[in-house]
Amino acid sequence: MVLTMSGGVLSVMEINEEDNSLDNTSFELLEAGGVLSKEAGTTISAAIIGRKASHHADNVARYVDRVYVVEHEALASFNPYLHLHALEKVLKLEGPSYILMGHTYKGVDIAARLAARLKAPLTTDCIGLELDPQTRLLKRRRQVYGGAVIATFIYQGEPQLVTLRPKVWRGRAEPRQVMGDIIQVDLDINSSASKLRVIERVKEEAVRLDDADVIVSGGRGLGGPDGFKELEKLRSALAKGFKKVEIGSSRPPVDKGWISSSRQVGLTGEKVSPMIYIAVGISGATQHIVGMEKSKLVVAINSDKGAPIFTMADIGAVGDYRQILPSFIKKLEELL
Amino acid sequence: MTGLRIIVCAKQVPDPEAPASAVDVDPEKRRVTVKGLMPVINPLDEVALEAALQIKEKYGGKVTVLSVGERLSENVLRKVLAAGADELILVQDEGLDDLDPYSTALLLFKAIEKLGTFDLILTGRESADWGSGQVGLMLAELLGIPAINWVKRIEVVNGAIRAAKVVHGGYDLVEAPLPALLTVTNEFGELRYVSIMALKRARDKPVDAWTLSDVDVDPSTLRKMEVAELFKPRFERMCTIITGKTPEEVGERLAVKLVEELHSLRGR
Ligand SMILES: Cc1cc2nc3c(=O)[nH]c(=O)nc-3n(C[C@H](O)[C@H](O)[C@H](O)COP(=O)(O)OP(=O)(O)OC[C@H]3O[C@@H](n4cnc5c(N)ncnc54)[C@H](O)[C@@H]3O)c2cc1C
Repeated sequence: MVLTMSGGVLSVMEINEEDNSLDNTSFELLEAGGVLSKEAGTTISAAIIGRKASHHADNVARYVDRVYVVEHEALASFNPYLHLHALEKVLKLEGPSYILMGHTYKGVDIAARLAARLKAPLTTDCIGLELDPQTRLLKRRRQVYGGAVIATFIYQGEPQLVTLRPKVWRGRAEPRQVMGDIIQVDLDINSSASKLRVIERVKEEAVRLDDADVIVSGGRGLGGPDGFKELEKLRSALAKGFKKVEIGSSRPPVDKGWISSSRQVGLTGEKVSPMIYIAVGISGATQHIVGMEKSKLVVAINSDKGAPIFTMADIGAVGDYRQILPSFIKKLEELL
Repeated sequence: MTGLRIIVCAKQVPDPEAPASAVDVDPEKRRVTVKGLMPVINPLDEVALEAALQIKEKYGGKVTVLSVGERLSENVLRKVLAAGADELILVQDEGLDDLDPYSTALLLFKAIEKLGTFDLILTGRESADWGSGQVGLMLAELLGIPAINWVKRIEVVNGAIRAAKVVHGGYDLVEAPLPALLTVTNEFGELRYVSIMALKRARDKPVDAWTLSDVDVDPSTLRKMEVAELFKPRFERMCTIITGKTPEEVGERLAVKLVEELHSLRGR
């Protein structure tokens, strides 16, 4: 197969269904797409797919050459088949060589199916993206082996397809002098378009950990859900000195149902970078570390002095957290 | 029909709980090397197996576990039989390691075609080693069946699947007709405890071993992952361990040190 790689870059925008807002991931994709299109000397376009997609058209048009707007009542809830159907229409019109999506529950859901349909090589959860000047192929950088290794992949094939990890790019897309064209795309949705039915969205605890000043995280070492009550005491003590203090968790407490999954920090959870991260009863598996290694100050409390978390902490205390926390909390209340 | 015919796709991986120091890279050969680690069943595929076993217990049926790879360990994979799976099928051949996600999906697709009819396919959300999280959805596309990604709860209602699909801040309740494929996420809960006795009993159960020609796959149609570069990131920090005569004292000193560090951090 002869690769031409003569098409442009397409960034697929993300809309939050609840309030029809444009998710910040979208700007990250515009930023990364903008850089790429410059390097490749091609155009950049964007696809906005949703019930009220046109609402964002003007805003997005400031950053790209073309905006495709696919608007339809049926896109009100997130149905991967319908969103994919909409995206395929855009692809027919635009024929991009590079497609950028967010590594979010939506982006992944659409991208893997699209990759199978196009037989196009997909790399998910990228933390770095570069253009190989000779081949014009993407160098896709991502964490593998739970974060213990970083790998760069280069695949033949067109289009080049990636999902980007949120918050790696900062969302500082550069506005252009001239607004891009806005292209309305009609969508016909018949009964065969979707292989599934979305009944309803059920809201659970939705916390944001990414903007917390302090995160107090508990692991399997807490021994049960009651351990989080102890952490809550620590949290409220710290809340006197900081604006936003949140409870976090490693994965086992989520799997065991001690705490809601939106508090999970790590490879498959949130990537956080607070001023202070306190890990209690967490061993420090790589899959956890990659979620918190950007914290400024890391404190670890663990009964095993050989626990790997101590190689990742600035301050450590060895012992049973039940015995250490009370005096720790009391003293903090005095000092803060 | 007597119950549901369920297929679980399970991958053998190096133990992801091993310390990062056990994992090394060979930059020249562009391969990850893992020292002295027993392979395990990919933890999220174990979660998928747990889901399959619970569905079987509730609605009746048969659970077949399917694994593809180059050097599969029967001993390791037999755990699925000990946990309650009815059948284990290994597709093993040269050159099946480090396939790209599409080729892996293609291979599973061919094996499933050979298996015949099924109602439900379950896979883990992603693998612990390369972790691209694509194979399940690609497999569903190849089979032309509906797929629901990142499922944490499953019910069968009037011959259809009803699943809770994890989204940001909650879940979508989604329904799909059978046959269907679900990728299962860790929120579903861990695989049940498997006793040594059960593992021993599983030693005598038959395991089917297939090769590429058994599943009618031409090796030249399979592609490897294209790794251009590999390196090991360093995360280490210098840790000050707080000591004290009693845990209470440690706690107090920890607070003092934390506040001290904080001041110098803010001062900067
Ligand atoms: C594909 C994949 C993705 C993953 N994603 C994530 C992720 O996003 N986030 C994540 O966290 N993990 C993730 N994991 C799991 C990860 O590999 C580890 O299993 C997990 O992080 C371990 O959690 P833990 O430290 O709480 O538990 P453990 O490793 O069991 O550690 C418990 C610690 O508590 C200590 N302890 C016990 N009792 C006490 C006590 N009384 N006082 C003080 N300390 C005590 C012990 O010494 C031990 O160090 C993932 C794994 C895979 C395979």
